Amino acid sequence: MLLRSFCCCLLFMALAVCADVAQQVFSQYQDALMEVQVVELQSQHKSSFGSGFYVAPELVVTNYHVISSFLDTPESYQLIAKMGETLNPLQVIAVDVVNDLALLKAPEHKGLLFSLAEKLPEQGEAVFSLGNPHGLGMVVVPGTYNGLKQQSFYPRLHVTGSLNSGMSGGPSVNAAGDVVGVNVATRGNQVAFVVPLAQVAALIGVAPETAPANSEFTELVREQLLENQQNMLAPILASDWLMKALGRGQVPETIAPFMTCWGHTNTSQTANELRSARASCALQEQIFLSRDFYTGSIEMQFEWLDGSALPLLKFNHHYAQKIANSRSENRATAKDVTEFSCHSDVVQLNERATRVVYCVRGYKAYSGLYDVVYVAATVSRQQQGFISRFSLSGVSKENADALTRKFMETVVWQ
Amino acid sequence: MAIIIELLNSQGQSTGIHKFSQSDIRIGRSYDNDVILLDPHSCAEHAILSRDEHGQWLLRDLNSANGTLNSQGQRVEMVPIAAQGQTFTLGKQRLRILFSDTVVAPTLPVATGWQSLSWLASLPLLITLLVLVSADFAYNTWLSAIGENAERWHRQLVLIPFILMLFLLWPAFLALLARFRSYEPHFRQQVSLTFGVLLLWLLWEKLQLWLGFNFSNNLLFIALQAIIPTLILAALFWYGFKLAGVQRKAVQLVLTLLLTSSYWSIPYLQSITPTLQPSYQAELLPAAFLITTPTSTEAFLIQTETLYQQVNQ
Repeated sequence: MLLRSFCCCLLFMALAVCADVAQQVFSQYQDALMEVQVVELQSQHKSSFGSGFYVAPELVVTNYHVISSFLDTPESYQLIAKMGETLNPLQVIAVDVVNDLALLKAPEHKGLLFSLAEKLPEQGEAVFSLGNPHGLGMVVVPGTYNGLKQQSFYPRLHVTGSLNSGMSGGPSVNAAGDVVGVNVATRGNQVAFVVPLAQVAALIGVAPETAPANSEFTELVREQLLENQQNMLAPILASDWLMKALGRGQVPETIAPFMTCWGHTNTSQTANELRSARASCALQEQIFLSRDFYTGSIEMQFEWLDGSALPLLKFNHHYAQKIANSRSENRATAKDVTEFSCHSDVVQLNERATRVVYCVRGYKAYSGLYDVVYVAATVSRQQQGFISRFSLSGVSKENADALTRKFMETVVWQ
Repeated sequence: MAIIIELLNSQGQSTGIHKFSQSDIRIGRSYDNDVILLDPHSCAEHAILSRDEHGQWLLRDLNSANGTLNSQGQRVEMVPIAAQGQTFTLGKQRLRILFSDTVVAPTLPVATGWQSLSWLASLPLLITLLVLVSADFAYNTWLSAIGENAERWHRQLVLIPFILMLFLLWPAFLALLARFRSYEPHFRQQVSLTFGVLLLWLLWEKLQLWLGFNFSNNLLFIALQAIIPTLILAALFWYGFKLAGVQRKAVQLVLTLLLTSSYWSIPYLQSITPTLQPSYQAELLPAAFLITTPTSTEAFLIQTETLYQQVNQ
């Protein structure tokens, strides 16, 4: 009983301390926070908004996705900083699309500024996320730092705490009030992701003195995407894939640590079933370019089909249907990408005739970047089939070629 | 010169013709008239058509209840008949006045086009076609049923007669068209033609699957894919209109081209809005159907180079 009341006491003290720190942080730094608004010029209403914070007297950090519509069509939007009741114009100085960051030039702020922390917190340490959820006003949300996000290509802090839309671009700070990262995304209950301070510091480091013309950002984004796909695909292309069997197909067991894999099989209920075993691996993160345009995804799917109980032609009919429709995994509109061009042929892969389809579409604004869809299905001798496919978005021709070659050589019928 | 009174129905079609040589013609509902009207809105003695001493015909209203209207709908008391084919309305009865020197339309020839297609009327042919088309539908039903459906696939065969009936709409339309134009409807020939064309189409689909599997990028195959469906459709419309009694070759040709072009114009209209997902050839058959040598990985990758040139344009 005594122990229990002691524990309770400790818990209350901890909560009290926590609340105390939150209050302190908020009251100290409230002035250095702002609501970043993208205002539509015709209607003079905001079309999107997020949070931002001062890291230097004239520099504000926010998310790229908060301001992307402005960069897309600067002639129809205006970028506004709302601090309390005052509204001021903002300019974009630098962006990092890969880490979803943007650096803005804002009117000089004379009060206290946010400073970046020396290092990341320890796992379990308290962090406080600041921002403007759903435009309801600036809030502080306490959370717990839980290490770097696992199985992720992009470094993200995993914070257990509630992030809501509108808090994007706001800072997450440690108990001392130093910035450990920028709020960026949430997935379900209390799972929040924060861009680490190293990426923020790097962006501040390369920021130019004056704001570049809006047209220059397209080229900048293109370079960042090209560099990112190079970093992502180089290890995949360089490593020897560890292969395993899926039926009589040979498929990679793991491709890269940042890709998560899933398996699925349909258990045969009746005699005339087409049995299938599927494996798929995907990078679960995509790069935000605009509301309808995402890139940077990699997805691979493998399927083994066995229809021993079916007549050959019947098996083949259903087998062929499975490869009739392949889709690209990333969202895009006709404004962003060209239509797909496809080449299809029967190719000899590891001594087995295989129907191979290869489709490409180009990015209209970012030349040299493509979405690629590949599907291969072994021509069946008996009622067995093997389908392999991959889809890449935002890759260079060289990398797409190299991955296709590697795929055609290794992912084969044994 | 004799005068002719033609009674017209509400569509302006003739329902009766009277020819007179006397100089007074009485028109009305009572039985002592020369032209007896059935229309209850006309009077017993409604109007009189008479010739004066100069040979000029005059239509005079006999103070009727609903009057005599000219072709503009104006009420007239007395009106000279100056031109051929003037129409009047007595009550609700329309009539047209002509003179015997009116030139008649040229003689319509008896339709002859169908004679070369008389073999299409053969009943054994029609039955064979129906059986073959039904067999193909049944085969496809069987093909698509797997799992639990595989045991019950034959239940779906009940649908086949209804699907076949849908294909009767086109021959029925052409037969009606021919009937309206006072030609032989040739319904059985039209049905045989439609199902013959349908059978050809189904056979072509099977051949296309095999050709596509073996000769994916062969230029001849790509050309055939465009030509054969066009020819099959053109045959359907050309012979269909011929059987329906379309006499003029130019009309037959224009109608055929217009309807056949739908095969091209509909996909063209759809292609105006860009499709962002890939479409490609994916014919796949068992290994026994493969007669060509598969290409190598190298050759395939060289071919993909051109895709990048296409999307970069």
